[in-house]
Amino acid sequence: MLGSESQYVQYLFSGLTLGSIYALIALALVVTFNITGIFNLAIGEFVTIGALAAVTLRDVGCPNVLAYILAVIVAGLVGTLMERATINPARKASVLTLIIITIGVSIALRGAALLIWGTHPHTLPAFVHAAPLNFLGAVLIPQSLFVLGLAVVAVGLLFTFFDFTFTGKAVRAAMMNRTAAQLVGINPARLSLFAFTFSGVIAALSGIFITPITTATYDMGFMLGLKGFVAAILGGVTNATGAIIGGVLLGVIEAFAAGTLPSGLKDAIAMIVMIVVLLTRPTGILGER
Amino acid sequence: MLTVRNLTVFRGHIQALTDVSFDVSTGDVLVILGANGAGKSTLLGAIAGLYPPRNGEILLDGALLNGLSPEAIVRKGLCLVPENRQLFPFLSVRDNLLLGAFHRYRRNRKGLDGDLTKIVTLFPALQEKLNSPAHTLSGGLQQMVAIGRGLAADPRILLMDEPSIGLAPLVVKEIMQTIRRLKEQGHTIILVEQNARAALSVADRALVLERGRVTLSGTPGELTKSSGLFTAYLGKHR
Repeated sequence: MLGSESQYVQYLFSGLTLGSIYALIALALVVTFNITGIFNLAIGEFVTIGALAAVTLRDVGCPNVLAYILAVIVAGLVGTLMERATINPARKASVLTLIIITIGVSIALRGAALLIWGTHPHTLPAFVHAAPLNFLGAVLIPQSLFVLGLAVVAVGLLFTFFDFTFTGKAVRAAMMNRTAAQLVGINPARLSLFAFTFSGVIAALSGIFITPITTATYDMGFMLGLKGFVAAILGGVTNATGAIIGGVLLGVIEAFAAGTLPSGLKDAIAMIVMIVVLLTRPTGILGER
Repeated sequence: MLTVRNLTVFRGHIQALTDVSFDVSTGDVLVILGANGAGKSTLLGAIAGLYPPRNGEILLDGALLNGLSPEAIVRKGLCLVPENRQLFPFLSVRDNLLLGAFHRYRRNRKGLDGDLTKIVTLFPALQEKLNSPAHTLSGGLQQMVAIGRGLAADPRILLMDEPSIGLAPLVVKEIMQTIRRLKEQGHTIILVEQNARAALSVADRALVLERGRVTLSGTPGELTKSSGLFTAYLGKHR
């Protein structure tokens, strides 16, 4: 029998891998929420578009890295376009209306993805072809390290931007107090555009990095978006650090639950976590108010 | 320089301002007095673009400001120091002040250091707090940051909404002295205050709002002679 210790290490690895993806999606959701006041529930579709656009670009002959970069740009542009075409024209509508719009966009994008890429799974090659690493009896696939690395680098860059650039500080200011930000001349419409474009970029990166492990389908984003949303709630929707902690935590909880509970419950775990958080600590781990 | 004509503003379904008219000349301090809920903050908010007017005109040197967004109005030279300070709590005092200059930051990055120095000269107590997060400061210092942030915008008219609220009497005195100094430097100011005596001591002109209408206006001398001021204050009608 495999030692239970090594099994737990294995759960931890897969939890951290998927948790990194949840964390990035949650981060994009939280940044968007604090700038615009709404949740962009189409963010999962940005993951799909990033991953599947990369697949197509490779199919038409782009070298890997170029395909990935272009796919990220495509998803970023989808975010830009979504904001300009659906959110900005309705900016005076209620928050509920705007969130419903994002659901509508999500369904439309998923439909478009189905038409373009069909129902069968696609894949991208692992970034390096190396043998899996053995660690304390558990197996760590190299691609997981890339996913963890992406999360660390993306979060590092983002915090550098937020802490050390004037524009980043203006974004943070708007996240802290939208009215006061407007009163010093920060344009919320421009920030909203930034938030959606940024979401497209970060989601596409997540999709491209995770696809070698999970494969990509037209509806892969639905669950990922939902999990990212749960992670954001778990961490506290007002707090970027909370989103990251929430994402990683959710990934680990899921992995351990999937390993020890009946596998049919796998996706229910996230929802159970969300319900428990909302009932016991509605502000999340690091949220305020 | 600023002309407000027949301004009517709704907040939701409530008519918060009715037919408000007044002028502010360059270099003047206009004080707006009135009881809670009289519409003072709504008036400042409407001028700053937070509440679009239902009717009437707001003109800056003859140019219409109605319908512009708050961020566009800052660029025109009107800056609101909002009620309850509304700082960016987790940013440093320095960042709060610099963000006040957001709308001209790109054009004038170098000039900003000098502006920061000017603001710190006005509020020496902020010097050693420049790197502290704004929310760790006392209420009085936070108010100074809020005024400093407003000044950083280099406004032609500074709108201040109850800068003395919730502050200790000594701090209120200090804030009023600052306003007096700003006036001496030639700033044009519209000041909303509950603290009538303190406010009138710096005013060139004042007006009293009652239930969204201007019931009295004139120089501080004229106003203090009128018994209407005190009834307006207590919100009583005979």
